[in-house]
Amino acid sequence: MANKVVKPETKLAIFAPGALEPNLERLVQGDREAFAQLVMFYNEALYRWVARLTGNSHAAEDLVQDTFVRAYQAITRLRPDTNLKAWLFRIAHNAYANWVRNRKGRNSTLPDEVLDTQAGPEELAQENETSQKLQQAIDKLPEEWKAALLLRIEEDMAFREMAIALGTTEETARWRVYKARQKLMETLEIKREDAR
Amino acid sequence: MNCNQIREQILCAENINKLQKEVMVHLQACQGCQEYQSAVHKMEKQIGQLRSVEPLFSTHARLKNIEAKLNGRKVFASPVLKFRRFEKERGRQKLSVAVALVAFLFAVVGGLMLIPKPIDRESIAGLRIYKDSSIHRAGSQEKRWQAMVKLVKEARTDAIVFAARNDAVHVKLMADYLEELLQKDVDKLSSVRELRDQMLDFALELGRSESEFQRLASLHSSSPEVADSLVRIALASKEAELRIRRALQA
Repeated sequence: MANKVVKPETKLAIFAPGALEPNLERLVQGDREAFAQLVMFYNEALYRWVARLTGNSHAAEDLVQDTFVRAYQAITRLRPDTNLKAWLFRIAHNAYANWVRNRKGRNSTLPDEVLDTQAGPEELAQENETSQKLQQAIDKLPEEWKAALLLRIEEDMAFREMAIALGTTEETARWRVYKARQKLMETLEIKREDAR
Repeated sequence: MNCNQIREQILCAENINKLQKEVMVHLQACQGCQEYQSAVHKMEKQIGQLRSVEPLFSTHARLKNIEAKLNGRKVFASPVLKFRRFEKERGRQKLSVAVALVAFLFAVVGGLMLIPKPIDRESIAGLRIYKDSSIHRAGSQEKRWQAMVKLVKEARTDAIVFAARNDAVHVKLMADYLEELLQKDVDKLSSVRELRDQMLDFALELGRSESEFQRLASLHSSSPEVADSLVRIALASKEAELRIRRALQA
């Protein structure tokens, strides 16, 4: 994908909305424009994944922002062969793991917010039962399985990329997806039988 | 491969639609496995179609926030996190206010305790405080003795004034006070040998005081309560005189 020629600026927020694949070479040189491209390119995907994992839109916002800040701080250490997507998801996954740890360690005074979706009350009412059951089944999956499955389905990530993102081996990534699929199938099958 | 193995292969596959040749051959022949593959495929499709999750902040806002954070400014991507931090800070503020209040209260109470209380000469308790503080404030035995003598003189004068006013309540109060002074305090201090001359003077004075109060009592015969209190002072003075003399002889 060709890079759009942009006027050099020192600020990040100079781009018009649009997603351009970031240039790794420029990123490694600490180019802020390239970094802004990176943010725009991966912002939604990262948010979508983290929001699904946390089930909390505000936490997801914070985690994604934290991910980009950490990414910027480490960007000059990137190697030319780095898989940017997997690398970013790896940072996000680490941030998410910290979030889970902190959450377990404290008793929040505020209840966790329900994931803020785009659907209004009417749409929610119309949402079919299967989707709700599916969502519930996904929510019940162990965190690591869920993370792997969502990367596979929503981000179309290969097991090799997934292994980098989750900080594991390709085989473990495959096994997690397998277990997640199996568990979901079992749950949905049981529910289907119950419905009968 | 049997059906179970085939289904495992389906679940393990990176892409459900791109399966190994062996699996594909099995699927063409086995309807059960074919249905299973369709079910897995359908489930994944449904997961992909679950309600979309959009970021709360625009990309522009995200960039601005990251930029601000990178420049060392405090940025709160989430209003909830902001509120939590605010709550935390407010908690700290509340705690400091509470600590300050407690410290202030301690200071006030401590200050009040340090301020000498005005002597309530209208009650025996007040007089006792006055007496004790006057005697204990004195540095040496001699000064204590002098303080005690001064108190006795003051009390005697007060008693005479109250008797002149026919104030039975206050004369009685002074009688109680003088009895205490002339018994307990005189006994405590009369064991000091160095005060011999002063004790002798005081004993003589008490002797004179006894006769004076007896005379006053006879003058207040119309008011038995006042007379009674004056007699008590006279008797206390006499007894004190005798005890001092005994102490001096010993």
